[in-house]
Amino acid sequence: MTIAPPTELLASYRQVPGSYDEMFRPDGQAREHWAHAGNVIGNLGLEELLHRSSEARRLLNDDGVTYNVYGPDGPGEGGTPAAAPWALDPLPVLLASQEWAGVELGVIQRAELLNLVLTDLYGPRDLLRRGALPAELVFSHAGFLRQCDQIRLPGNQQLFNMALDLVRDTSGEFTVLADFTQAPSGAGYALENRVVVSRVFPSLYRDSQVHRLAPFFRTLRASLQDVAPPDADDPRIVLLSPGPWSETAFEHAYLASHLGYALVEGADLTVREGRVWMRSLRHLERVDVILRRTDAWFCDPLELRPDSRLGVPGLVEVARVGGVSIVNTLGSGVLENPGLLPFLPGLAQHLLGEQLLMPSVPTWWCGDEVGRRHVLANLERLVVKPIARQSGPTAVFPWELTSERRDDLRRRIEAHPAGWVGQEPVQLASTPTLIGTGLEARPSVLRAFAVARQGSYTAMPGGLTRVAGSADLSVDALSAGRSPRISNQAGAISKDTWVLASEPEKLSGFWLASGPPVTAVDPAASMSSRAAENLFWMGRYAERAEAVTRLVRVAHDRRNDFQRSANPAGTECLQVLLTALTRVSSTYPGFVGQGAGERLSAPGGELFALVIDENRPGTLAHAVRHLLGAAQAVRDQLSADIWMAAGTLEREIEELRTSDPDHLMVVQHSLGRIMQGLLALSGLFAEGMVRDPGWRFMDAGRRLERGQQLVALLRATVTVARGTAADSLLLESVLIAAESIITYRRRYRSHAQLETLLDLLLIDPDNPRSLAFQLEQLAVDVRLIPKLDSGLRLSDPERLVLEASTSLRLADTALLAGSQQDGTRPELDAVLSNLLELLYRTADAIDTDHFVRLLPQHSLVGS
Amino acid sequence: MIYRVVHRTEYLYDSEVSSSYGELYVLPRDLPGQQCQSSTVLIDPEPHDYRERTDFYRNRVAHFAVLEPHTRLSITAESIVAVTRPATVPLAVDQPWETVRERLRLDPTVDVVGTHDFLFDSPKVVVSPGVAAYAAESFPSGRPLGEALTELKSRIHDDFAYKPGATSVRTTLSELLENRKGVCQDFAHLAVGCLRSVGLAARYVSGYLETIPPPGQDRLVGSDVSHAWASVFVPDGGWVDIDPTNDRFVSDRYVTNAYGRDYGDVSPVKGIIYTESKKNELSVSVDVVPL
Repeated sequence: MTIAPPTELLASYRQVPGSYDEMFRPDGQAREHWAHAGNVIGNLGLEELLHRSSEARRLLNDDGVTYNVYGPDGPGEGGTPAAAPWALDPLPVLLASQEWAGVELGVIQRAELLNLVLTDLYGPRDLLRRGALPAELVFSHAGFLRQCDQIRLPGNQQLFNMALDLVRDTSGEFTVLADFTQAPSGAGYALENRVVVSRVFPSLYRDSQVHRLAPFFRTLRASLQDVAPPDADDPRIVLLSPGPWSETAFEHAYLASHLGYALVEGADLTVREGRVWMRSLRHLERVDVILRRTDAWFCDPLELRPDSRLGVPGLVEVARVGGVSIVNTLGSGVLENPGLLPFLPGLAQHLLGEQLLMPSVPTWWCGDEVGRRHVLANLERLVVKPIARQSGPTAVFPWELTSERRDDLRRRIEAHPAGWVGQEPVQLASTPTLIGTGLEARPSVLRAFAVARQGSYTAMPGGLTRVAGSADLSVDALSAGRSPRISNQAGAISKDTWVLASEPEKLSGFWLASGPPVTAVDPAASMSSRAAENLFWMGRYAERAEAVTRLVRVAHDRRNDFQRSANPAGTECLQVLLTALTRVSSTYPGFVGQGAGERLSAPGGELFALVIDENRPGTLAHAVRHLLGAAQAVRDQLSADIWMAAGTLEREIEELRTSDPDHLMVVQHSLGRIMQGLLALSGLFAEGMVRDPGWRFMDAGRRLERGQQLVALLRATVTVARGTAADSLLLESVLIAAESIITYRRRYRSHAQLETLLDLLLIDPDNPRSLAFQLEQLAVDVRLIPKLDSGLRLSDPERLVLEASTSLRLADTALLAGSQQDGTRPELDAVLSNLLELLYRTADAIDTDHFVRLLPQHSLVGS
Repeated sequence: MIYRVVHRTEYLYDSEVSSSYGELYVLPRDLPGQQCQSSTVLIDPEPHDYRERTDFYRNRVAHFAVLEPHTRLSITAESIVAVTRPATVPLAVDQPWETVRERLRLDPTVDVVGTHDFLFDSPKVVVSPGVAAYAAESFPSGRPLGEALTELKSRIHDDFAYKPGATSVRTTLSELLENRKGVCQDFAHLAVGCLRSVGLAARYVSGYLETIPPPGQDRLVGSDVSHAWASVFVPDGGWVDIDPTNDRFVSDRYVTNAYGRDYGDVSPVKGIIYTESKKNELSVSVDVVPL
């Protein structure tokens, strides 16, 4: 790799002949508004830019910014996506203030126009009556939802927000490639990009007078308030997501947490009495506004797709009676129709009395004779798209097809012409993109955003720029005059888009507000029961991961000490520890069931599997995967720091997978780093989270799990007396695994004794690792968890924890430590198994009392 | 004629259902030639929520939510309906079918919104080449629409066996053409598809038939369940209904419930339930008695 010296970085940039370049004029000079940034970039030089780029990557990684990528078949049955890191080139795209002013007007006008179209299509339908739009274009579009005909949002704006993909043609003029009105995505990623890029290029950002994005999100928030049903004076707003597997799940959680709304899935909501309610910790909480990120078809299995598991039965009806405002409104997808594009100039005249300010890419709808003939005659060079977005690719590039496939496409168009459009391919403008060897010209698309504001629209100053993800789609594709696919599924790279202000921006609309104090939202009311459940399991899995890591490390240590020695006590201790590992983690057969003998004599493989096999419940990798899964589902509730620690865990486990299981030192080191990650997590849980009901659930999960792990370990190790030599080794190991060895040595100095071990691990209220300590904390947690019944009676979880504490307090450790003739300790075993049982029942009781268990959904038909 | 229409639907589940949400198309709508004088819907267990509304096509719809656990759900709709539909077919069907097709698109008196919605494919009526070929036989050029309709309904009646259970709500028109057996919904879908394939506006009608035939007349097929037929738009004549299942034009022995593009728009009872139950027992009865 040759690295150009700084001065050469810009000079060596190769423009695409005949194409517009964002940064450079055809003569190779930087455009005026790029002058400052160009200098800075040139002076930083490639090496420094690459360094900033990896810094950006690290920041995105630490924030856990991802985009879920599906396989070629798209999201389907059982297909869980891969969470790809969000790709960002930190070099921003700059837009001059004056040019942006034009774009902004175009965006706003387009939103106003589409709003009028939407309002008419779900209202008087005069456009169809008068022939301003062909009936077939609307009636045969899958996004026209007849069920949603009578839904009206308060106010005049039925289109709440939208996004547009803008491209520049060869002359540099902006043209609209597509409109997004169903559930537009990308605004959250644009915000995250800004956060990262402004940290990576702090002085360039500061000196460039960039329009801030924050006011746009404040407008979004204000408009969400305004769109609430008129009788909601303090509207409750939620963000409805299809769930953690949706492509833009990160964005859903990010926006929810940025805007301060609960992130909900369909199952978190229910409908009754003409209202929508969230199943929160405290009964049902009314929901007034739903910011919808689920496609309309999936939102109500009763009236829309009966097989949807992402919706709420009855939701359409509540929207219809005005009991909830859903934005974008159900049915807004009718505007995501490229067949509308050729009609927009006429509609702008007809509805606004204006020229359409920003043209669309030249498009022909095959539903009319002229359009069809044009498309079929030019099939080799036009981009062909179905009018409604379906699963699978949205655009077909006929020149990429074999002649048979092209004939097949021709037949499909001829059979159902109204379902297709042809679009002129665009020679996209290019943007300098940072790659390993310098700057490369890559085609780019700008996604712009608009949101309703008091009768008109506000555009986000800037947007989400995306450039093609690989070189073969860049220069060559560009010079051939073809539109490459630029989509995140196809690995596009995003860029921040800076709109430069002509003068320093006046800060307005601060977060800090005067006026009467605002009543805080009751945290129990704003948390869905599903969120609470995920937090509970986060606590449990974190603790489970910690317990199995400690135990595996202890086993490794003993193995190191005794594996090849002839010390019978050491061998026995190791065997007990290994069987305990299987019992405590319930990873049978392991060192207990069938084939145990073999594994006991060569435990390396099984121990390794207990760390890395994520498909096997009870292993470390399994616990970590589920910990992260639970965290994903409540990411709106968590500090972004969590992802730093979580990232470490994933990386370490991944690294371990490829290392030699018999290289004990490597494995031990790796387990050490995993332990650090887990400790960092527990530190965050302890110090980085408010003690709200959600935290109580998480802590209850932790306490329950730690208690269970401890009691199970004791049952598996000390309920049988062995020889003094073996027992002293074993007791020491148990104390290490229970993280109490140092206290024990300091306190009891002498040789290990079971009685004092039981004192320290079971009944010592000051040992944060003891069962008594867990029960005490658990008692507080279950007391403070919002209760269904505010009366004087104890809740089931409270009663069970009290019962466990009492039985523990009544236990006499001296007595329990005594063994029978045959070495067994039946009393100890009985007490421990009773405690374990009570802990299991407590977990069940918390589940029953607080977590929603929806029965399976079925659809009913009758004739 | 004035009829009392009673439509009962009952579900028995093998385990508890925690909640049921339903949408009902069991309330006869008003139409030229039909007026619903009164109607009531009785749901057991008593629903927590109940509301009636009209839909996109101005059909009457009832919504309900039963939010208490139940193992049995029964829905009884009872209506008094006056039918004054003339027994004769409008003269306008004497126009050649191509003229009808052309006027549908060009005649400024035709309501585009109310008719063009029924020109195109809908989820359950996808016009395949097979459907078009089947229809073409009845639509030679220049033939008056009335004759074409008469023949089309007779052909469907003769070519297909009435066989309950032979099809499901998911059966496609292509499968139907292959297997040549089905029930009234299938025949109605096929007729609608045939009419659309030649460029006419055709809708699917859900309704009922008089249960006991008047003296001297045959008992019609489908009289103890809900029935379905097809309707085609004729400029100057309005909507003309044909019943391919019984090979006749629709008379005052028919009560219309609702119409739509296909069954999916107007299925009489649909719902979402939450249960571990794997199967349920459904019983439906319809009684249409003249008063």
